[in-house]
Amino acid sequence: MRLGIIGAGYVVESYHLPVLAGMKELRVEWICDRDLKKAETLAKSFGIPRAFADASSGGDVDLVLVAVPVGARREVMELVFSRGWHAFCEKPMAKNHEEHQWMLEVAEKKRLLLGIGLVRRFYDSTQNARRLIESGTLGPLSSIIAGEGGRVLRTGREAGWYQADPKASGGGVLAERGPHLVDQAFTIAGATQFRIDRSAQKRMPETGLEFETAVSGHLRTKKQFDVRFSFMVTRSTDIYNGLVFRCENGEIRIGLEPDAATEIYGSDKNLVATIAPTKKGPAALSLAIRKEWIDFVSAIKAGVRESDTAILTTRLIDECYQGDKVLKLVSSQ
Amino acid sequence: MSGKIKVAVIGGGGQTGPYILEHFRNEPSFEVTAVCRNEVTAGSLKMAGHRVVCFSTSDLEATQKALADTDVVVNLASASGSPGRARAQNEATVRALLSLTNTERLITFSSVAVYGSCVDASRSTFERPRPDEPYGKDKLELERTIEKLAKTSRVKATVLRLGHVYGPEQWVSRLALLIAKMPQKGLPFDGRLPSNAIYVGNLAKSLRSMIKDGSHVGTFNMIDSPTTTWRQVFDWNTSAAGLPPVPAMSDEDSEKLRQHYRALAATGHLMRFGKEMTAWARSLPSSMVQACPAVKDIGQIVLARSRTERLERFVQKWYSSSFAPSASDFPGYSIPKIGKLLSDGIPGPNAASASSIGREDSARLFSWYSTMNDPDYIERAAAGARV
Repeated sequence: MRLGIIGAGYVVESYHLPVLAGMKELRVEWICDRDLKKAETLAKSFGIPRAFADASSGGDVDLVLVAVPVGARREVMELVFSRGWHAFCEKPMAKNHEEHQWMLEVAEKKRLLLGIGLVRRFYDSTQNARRLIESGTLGPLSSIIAGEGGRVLRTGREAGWYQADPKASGGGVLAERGPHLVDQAFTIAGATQFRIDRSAQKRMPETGLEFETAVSGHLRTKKQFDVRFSFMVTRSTDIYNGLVFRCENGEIRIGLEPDAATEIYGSDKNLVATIAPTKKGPAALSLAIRKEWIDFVSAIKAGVRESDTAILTTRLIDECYQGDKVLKLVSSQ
Repeated sequence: MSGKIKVAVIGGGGQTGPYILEHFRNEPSFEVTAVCRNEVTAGSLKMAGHRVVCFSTSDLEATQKALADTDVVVNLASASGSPGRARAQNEATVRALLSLTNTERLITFSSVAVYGSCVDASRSTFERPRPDEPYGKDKLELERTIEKLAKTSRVKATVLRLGHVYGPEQWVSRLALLIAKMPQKGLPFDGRLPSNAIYVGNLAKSLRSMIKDGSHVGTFNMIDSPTTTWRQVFDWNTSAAGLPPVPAMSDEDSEKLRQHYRALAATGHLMRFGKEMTAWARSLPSSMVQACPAVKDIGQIVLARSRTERLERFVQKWYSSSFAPSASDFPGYSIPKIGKLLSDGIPGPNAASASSIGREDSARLFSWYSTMNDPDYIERAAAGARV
């Protein structure tokens, strides 16, 4: 299948292109970026025939990878839909729930498939934990705790970095890290609904950039369990990084890395067993990215009309940013 | 300098930055500004109430404009990422800082890594340090650049070879607490060797004194004074975190490890490459068979046809020996950054003032460690409990 790439940033260069280069199922026809030099550099490195600055110059392809900041997503998706391209979007899918809903409605009307780059769904640890929960091995699921982040020490980026701009980045750390963490928890638990009881954010008053979000609530799963959940994403405090699924007879813990082990604890909190991943190091992430591409391409070929683009996750993140339940704004100097 | 001393801290958002800024803020004679590259790194500093400006210090014009009336610059920044780009950025930063016309003093951090990954004081001296790893070589190169530029600059330059920093959020404390949870690991020589480490609070205190009294122009080490041993560093960390002390590694095993890492540090990279290629070649039979099962099939077909017993024995021996454990299978080798735990004390003058670690410091480490390791902290914070 012929693939076009919109956005020549770090994620495309470091993660997608090295994997796509080895996939015979896909042929990258062109790459574009507002910064033409970036697009041309990647085109040269990866042997992509064409590079340009404007996505509307893109020749005919079957699908596109959309890897532009979420603040610029809508304009790009309007073009994608008008050209009739299936689209695999880097997370987050959309700026908010309304935009995500719009994307799904238009895609359905045009019979186009949308996919989302929530690569953690394909980690061994996620799959192991999901199977353990589904099988009921440790009894019914009662609570989930999920944490990601720490005090940011260095980014290696200059002042114009899109993540320093709340409009371009979607708000802050929640928009950046939240989709992965929340979707991973929802995927493992089989979540179908949620209710936020409390959410608090730390934001810089002068820019509105969000640095920390802590949320507690309940979710309902496919197996009809009512499960307590708590999650936190932060750029200002060193916290536990990982997911904990507490069940009646024990708990499952997984780290956030692609090659994280799956740890099973007994009800006495002692470690009972560890399931190692099939691959270690960078190979684990490459394998997961390859799996997500194969999954999307297979779905297109099979004529699948709808895929799970994590709209539940988008809604939760949106509700956190809406501020209805925002309890604390921290003032700075 | 008259009135308050205007101090700029470059890279204040890094590991040691917040502690240094906190100490400086408590100094009534200082007026402090932190410098970060973007709003993301600036955020936690702003939330803590520090004054922060954002620009790139490798941009000469921006630096000269923003720091035009700064008296003292403390440069904690160290660019990372692609090696060539990082080195260029670090050099551009020191050039920009040494070009400031109203600045009296620049204090830049180098590292004890310039002495090598496993310091052998008989080989690596203060005047002629011998780094063996890229990080140490980069740091030494930067020292030489500063030395050269300082000759024609009106800015007085101080280069501090920073020891291994421990304390909340610092990498040595992370390492110590990680090793404390590893079964069957021990502290080499029971931690009797000098640590070449410095507590983050002592670092901040020393810098503050140095700026106030204008002392220590030139190149110095920056480690705890008096020197602490690894046992002291590890025991402070484990005790503060509520963990049992790290057991001792036998002197025999420790000495074996030390000789290995000293030899490694003393071996040039080309020679190391040769040795590692040889070791890799020895592992070829087993790794080849794993990667290409057809090789095994071909081998069996050839052996069956040749019916030569000597050849069969040779192939069997060659194949079996490729599974034999190598030196790197020795348990001690898997301890991260082990070379530093086997080093001699670093030579040369030390700029640090007398160290002290109080109960408040231990409480702070405990708070950081438990927040980082306890998922229930997230549950409490999310539920709105006072944390």
